[in-house]
Amino acid sequence: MMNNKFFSHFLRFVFIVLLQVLIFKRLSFSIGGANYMTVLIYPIFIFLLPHKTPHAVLVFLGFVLGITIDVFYDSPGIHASAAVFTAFIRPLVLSMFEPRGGYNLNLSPSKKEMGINNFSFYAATLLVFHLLVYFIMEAFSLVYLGECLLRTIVSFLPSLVFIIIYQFIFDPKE
Amino acid sequence: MRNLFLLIVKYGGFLSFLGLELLCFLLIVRFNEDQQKIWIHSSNYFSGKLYDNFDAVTRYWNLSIVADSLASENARLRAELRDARFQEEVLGGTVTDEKWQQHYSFNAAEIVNNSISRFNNYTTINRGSRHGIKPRQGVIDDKGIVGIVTNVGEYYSSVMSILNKESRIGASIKKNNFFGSLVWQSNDPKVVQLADVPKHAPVAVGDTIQTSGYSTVFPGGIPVGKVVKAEVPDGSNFHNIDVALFNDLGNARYVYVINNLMRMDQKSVEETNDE
Repeated sequence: MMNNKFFSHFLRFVFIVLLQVLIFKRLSFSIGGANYMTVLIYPIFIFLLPHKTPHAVLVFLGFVLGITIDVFYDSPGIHASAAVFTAFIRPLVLSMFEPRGGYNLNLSPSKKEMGINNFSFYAATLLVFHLLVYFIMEAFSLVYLGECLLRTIVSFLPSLVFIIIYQFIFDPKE
Repeated sequence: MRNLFLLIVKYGGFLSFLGLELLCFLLIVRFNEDQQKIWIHSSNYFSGKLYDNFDAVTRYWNLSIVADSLASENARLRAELRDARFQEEVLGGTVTDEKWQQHYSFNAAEIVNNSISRFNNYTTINRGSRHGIKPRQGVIDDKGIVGIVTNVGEYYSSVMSILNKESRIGASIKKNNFFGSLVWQSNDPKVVQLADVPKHAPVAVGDTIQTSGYSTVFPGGIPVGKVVKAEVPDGSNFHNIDVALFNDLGNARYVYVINNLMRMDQKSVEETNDE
């Protein structure tokens, strides 16, 4: 049972990484204004980890995910730092959307568990921070903060749309 | 140990966040060219600023030390200047010739103090008894005569300038050897007078005056100046002659002190006349 769940998360990890680097990386480059728009769907792996995942493990998995993406994006540490940050603030963001009775700690914060509205807000909040940290780390200077914000805004919507579509297509609880 | 474990459990997320972000940061600046450049540049900028500010503070603490060292440096450099040194070496030259015995020798000296504007002008030179300077030695420069040594110290000597009311130096008219005494009656530092030239001596403006060689001080034939005015006042047996000096004592600097090697001999011979 435990191994089965672990295996399914591992499979999702591989699948999301492949989706990101094989499809969305090219997509980002082929759509006009590629410099500004970067579609990132891989944070959904962090979004969908189970509630009971220890914080430290969450952060560590974020790092592993980010550094894996970095390998393909040829940018060691940039995606990783954003993913680590996203994983770090996940419990905080989750607590903002916590229902009256609390979460079922055995499950994951998915569309099926939270409902499409809550999940969208939850994903959107984390995604904004993820993108912002990513672009700041890429610029590596606060001088271009305005441009970082612009890129975040431009990249945010397509990324969020693809993440929600992903949830519709691959509901992890099925 | 248990507390440490609890600490890690409680703050594990935060600690791993910090640790991994630090790791990411290191990876970024280590492996990404652009970010590395920015990092190096801004770290240089910030560390440079930091050092600058720190230096600005510590500069005040060191100020007195720096001032002292600068002052001693200044003193050392001043001592290095040529003017600050007493040139111990005696520049001079003697000629040894069996037929021509050395009559005069010359000591190069430098004027270190000078005056031309008083009635009785004296000049100080940087040679003294150590260098063989004696009283009653003549001083000349490259264009004419300067004066006669009066007082001699160990390193310095005082020279009575020809621009001195007390000064009397034997001189003659070059073309006919009529002689007189150079005195300074005007207050013009460029002009001296040649006194005691008898009125039958032919003197014309433009005649060259030179030392007569009749004293033990100057050798004969050293050019002194040119006659600019010559007249015989009514009822006088002597010319009044104004002589414009060839040299300018206002800017004389390098001089030669004349040492008459046969002075004592001449003196002792002449003194027998008076007895």
